[in-house]
Formats: sequence, C-alpha cells, structure tokens
Amino acid sequence: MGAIPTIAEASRQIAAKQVSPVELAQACFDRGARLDDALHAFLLRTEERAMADARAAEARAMRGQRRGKLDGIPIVHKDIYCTAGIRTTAHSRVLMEHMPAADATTVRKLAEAGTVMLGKVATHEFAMGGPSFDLPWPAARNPWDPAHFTGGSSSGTGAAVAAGLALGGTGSDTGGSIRGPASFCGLAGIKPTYGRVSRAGILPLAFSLDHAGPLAWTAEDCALLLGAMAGHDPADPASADRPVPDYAAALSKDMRELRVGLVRHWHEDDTETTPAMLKAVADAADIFRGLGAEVAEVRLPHLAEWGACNTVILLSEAYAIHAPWLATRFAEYGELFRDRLALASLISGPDYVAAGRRRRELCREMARGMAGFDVLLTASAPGEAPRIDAVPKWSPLDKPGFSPPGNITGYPAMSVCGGFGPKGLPLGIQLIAKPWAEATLLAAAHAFERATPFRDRRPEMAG
Amino acid sequence: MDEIETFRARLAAAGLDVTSEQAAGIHGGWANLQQMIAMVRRPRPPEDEPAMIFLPEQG
Repeated sequence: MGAIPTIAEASRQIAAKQVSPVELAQACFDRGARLDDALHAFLLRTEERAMADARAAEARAMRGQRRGKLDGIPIVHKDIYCTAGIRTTAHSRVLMEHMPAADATTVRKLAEAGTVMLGKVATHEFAMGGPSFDLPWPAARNPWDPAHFTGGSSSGTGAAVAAGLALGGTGSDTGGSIRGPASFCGLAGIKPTYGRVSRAGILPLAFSLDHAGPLAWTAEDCALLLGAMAGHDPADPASADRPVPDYAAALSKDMRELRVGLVRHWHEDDTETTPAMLKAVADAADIFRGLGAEVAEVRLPHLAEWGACNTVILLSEAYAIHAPWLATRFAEYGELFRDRLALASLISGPDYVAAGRRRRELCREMARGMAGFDVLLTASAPGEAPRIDAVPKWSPLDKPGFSPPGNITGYPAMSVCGGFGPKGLPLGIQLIAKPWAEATLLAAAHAFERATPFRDRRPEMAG
Repeated sequence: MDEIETFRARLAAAGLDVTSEQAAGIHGGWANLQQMIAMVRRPRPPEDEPAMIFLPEQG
C-alpha cells in the first residue's frame, strides 16, 4: 500500500472493495516494524487478534454486510483503556502484570463497530507525569522528529497515528492529554463534553476532570470515532443520557453561521507563546473570517486561574486513588509521576473544596464568555514540541497551559493542525464549544482543515 | 533541621515515608503548588453559593 489513508478514505476503499481490512492492518504493522524502534509507540502488539479481526471485517465487506464506516479500520488503544485478557499497564511498573477481566465500555463499542485493535500504546505513567525515562518501557517519540516530545499523556496514540502505525486511536484528557499530543504530533484530537463518552474501564486519573476521546489525522475521522465511542453508560456515574448526533453527517455546517470568539489574551498575554504559534492562531482567525464566520474578541479569566484550579483538583483526586500505593510502593513509580503526586499529600480537604467552589465560578465565567459565540479560538500549546530531553520536571506547574479551561468546565474542546513552525514541527490551534455541541466543534475543525493545506503533509519518516 | 528535612517530616505526617533525596525531588514543585492553592482560596461570605458539584450543563 502507498500513502497513509485517513479513516474516511480507507472506509470508502473498503466499501468499494479496493482495499481489504487485512491489507490495511498489515500495512500498519509493516510501518510499525520499520519505524517503531525509533518511535516506541507500542507497548504491546496484538497481531494475532488484529489479523483475525481484520479477516472477519474483510468477510463482512465481501458479503456487503459492513457494520458501518469503522468496520475494518485499524486503531490503537492508550494503555489505560482496559482490554479483556490483554495486559493493561498504564505504562507503569505498578501495573506490569495487570490483566483486566473486561473491556472498557469504549473498547467494546469500538470493537462492535468493527475496528481492528492493533495493540496497546504508550502513555505517560497513569496518564500523568511524562516524559519519563525510568519506566519499564521507553517514552514515545514524535514522528516529525524523534528527538522531540510527543506531548502527553496520550503519547503513544499521538506517535502511532501521526506515523501511520494506526489510522486512529483512543486518548484521555484530564488537563490536555488529548489536545497536547494532537498539537505536537499534528493531529486532530477531541476532548468531548464531560459525560459524553463513558470512562468505565479506563484507569482513572482524576474523576471529575477525566474525559475519553479519539485522536486521528482529521476532524472527519474524529467524528467517526467519537460517534462510536459516545453514548450513555450506567457503568460511568458521570455518563449523560443524551442522544448522540451523527457527527460525520453534521460536518458540512455552513461557516457563515459560525460565531468565533478569539480569546486573544490567553495566547498573547497570559503565557509565553512563540511567534509562530501567535501567527498560526491569527491566521486561523483569518481563515474562519474567509469562510464567512464572524470573529470577535472575548475576555475570560487569566489562564493561570484555570491552571491553578485544575491542578489542585487533579492532584487531590489522583492522590485519593494512588495514596495507598504511594505509601507502600513509592519507588516502583517513575520519578515524575510520584514526585508530582506526592505533593498532593499536602493539599488539605478545605483547599480541595475551595478549588471546587472556584471551579463553579470559572464555569459561570465561561458560560458568560461563550454566550455570544459558537466556538472559542486559541492556541493548543505554546509552540512546537520541545526536545524530549528538555521538558522540565515541574513544567505542568511552571507555566499555565491552554487546556485546563476545557477540563474545568467540561466543555468540548479540540486541537487541529494549524500549520508548522520554524523547526518544521506542527502547531495546534484549539477550538472550544458549548456543552454537547461536539457537532459544531467538529464541523468548524473540518471546515478549517479543508481550507488549509496542512493535512497534505505527513512526517517525513512515514513517507 | 534544614528545609528539606522539615518538608520530609511534613510528607511523613501526611503518610509518605520518603528518603531525604526523594523529599528533595518532591520539594522542587512545592512553591508553585502553594501559589496555586493560594489562587483557589478566596474569601467568601458564609451565604455564598456552597455548591461544588460539577455539572457541565449548568456551567
């Protein structure tokens, strides 16, 4: 096989019997054999099962009985998504032998849609703390330049999808863990509304901030994956009982009806952002204007306010999960995870409650700010991916990031590729929509991708 | 007792028994976290909305 197809393209080719799911899966494994020694995306390949699933999908395609557009599409799962009888480690020595009895709800739903699971991929330890170099498996590397960081924590999914080792994959986002890798690896990644996608069977980091969602090459592919992942699940107490729209069918929304709120101070004033990223966001605003959208500025609380609130809640909730193991197995964790989380032992109960009250205020501010807009526009990250050996240990606490507003409010947010910086690495722009308005978010991202040439360029190593 | 040993004693009181070296590693983020905690602590009147329940639809 030649060029790496998107999920939508591969699906059309399968439907037209121009390509078989077996060929697709094999092509991904072949690219993996060539590239993954440098990328370290995979923790575990499930090749035997994948080829069996691909053959079953091929048989359905030949009979004209495909289950849908995802039938036969090769994907990967972040290794915090539990897989029945398949090791699920959270990339941690603490869970090296962990063998779940059941699939996560999302793993099951994606399998029922006919996807072919190629394996389990790297994550920052327990979805927080990387890049780490003292874990049982190496940290994933960025396909645009393996000396650079993938972002995280959905690092393996970012690397695998950007390099074409899979056509899509799953991620989780508690403080930017989908949008960060999407930005640094040049992908589309969506963190849906809190409650939209079940977290049942996904190893938790922070209960009230955790979101599950997909990463893929395009917004259209994210729409297809999200459609399969979303829906009510009584096994997740935060899961919302709401109808799931046909996201792929809603992609062609007329952008002349779109009102874009540019949160200029977030990327221009509140944190250090590179000139290339500032230009990418300004260009994105112009693209939306060119598509007929109305673009106006909006002010919201300083990024540091969102970051402080997110961090206090995240660390408190994560510590509640890990405290027993930290007390007895401290040295088995990687340094970054354990040191960042150990700090949470000093956060008091009243401080956690204060953060919850501050969260309500920030939610009100976001609702006010978004009242006149359909989407907000800002950066996904300060710039291009840094070198993987130059990420400071305390970087999450050092400078405010662009992701916490989406986690604090639960509003859907996504990163799409907004161009490339001076090092040739991707720059992600971020869009945020109102609760349950993933269809609008995906449509805006899709329109942006179609109006720009950035989806035509893959990492050189994947060529 | 120096700053790291004091910090190590605080961690021990919170249930984490770590070495001095480990305490020093953790201490590097403490000043930043304290700033963040200070940002979420806001004086409020007692009748201020008490809810901290998170429901995005009410956001």
